[in-house]
Amino acid sequence: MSDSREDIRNLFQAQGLSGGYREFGERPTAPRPAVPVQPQPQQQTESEPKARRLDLVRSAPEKPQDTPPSPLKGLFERLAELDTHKTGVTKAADDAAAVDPMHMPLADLFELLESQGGRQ
Amino acid sequence: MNDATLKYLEGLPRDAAAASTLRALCGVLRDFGDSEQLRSLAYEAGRKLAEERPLGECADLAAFAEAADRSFRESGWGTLRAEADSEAVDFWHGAPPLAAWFGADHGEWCCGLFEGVLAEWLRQMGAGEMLAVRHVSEDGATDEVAVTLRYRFAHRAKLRVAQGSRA
Repeated sequence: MSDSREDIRNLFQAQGLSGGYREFGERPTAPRPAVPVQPQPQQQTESEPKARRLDLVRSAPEKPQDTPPSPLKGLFERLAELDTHKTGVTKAADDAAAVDPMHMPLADLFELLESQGGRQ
Repeated sequence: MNDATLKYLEGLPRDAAAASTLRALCGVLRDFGDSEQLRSLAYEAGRKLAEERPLGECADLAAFAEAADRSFRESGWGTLRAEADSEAVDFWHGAPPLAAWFGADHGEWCCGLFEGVLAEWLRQMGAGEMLAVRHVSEDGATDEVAVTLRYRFAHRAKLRVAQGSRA
């Protein structure tokens, strides 16, 4: 195994992910030992356990999902930025369509009409 | 007849006499120049009329159309309204005085008069040399429907207007 692969393995171990990296063809490492479940105190009546379990299910706090940031996130942000800061021709055309020529400043209207000269 | 009486008569409005004089003048002009020359003449006369009646500042086309319509009505020129899109502005001139002034058979060149009026007002608002006003159509002119002239204000390339006729 090369040094770089050793580095990667060390990185996984440092992150507590020692079982998550293996070489091609390498056998998976043994599953981690199950965490022993603490027995519930036996002070409840016979009819209570099922109801209590349901109650626990209902009241269990939702576990936050630690999803890693998507590599596409940056791309989506960039596209959203481009959408709000349109450039050149696209922006001018959108602005012209959005503004009522009757109510745009006269200087802007004259500029818009002059810009139509090249379009036949 | 003393001077005071003559001065009084001199100050009276003489619209009927003015109209008949204009019609006679129009007939003579028609025999002289070609229609484009006459149109240019009428256009320059229209510009002079607009210079004598400046509209003042207008923030947008709606304000311009409102001020122009007011001036048209006060001057006995008819009415004016505007419609616009991103390529052109159309001005609709209702009840124009051209037939009363120049005769029912006046030529299309007479429309140059109000082309000049509108162009001068728009120039005062900041319109550049590449924009122009051109009469493009006439509606109505029947026994029941009043005449409405339509002028288009747009880039010269859209109107095919000679460079000499300013915005």
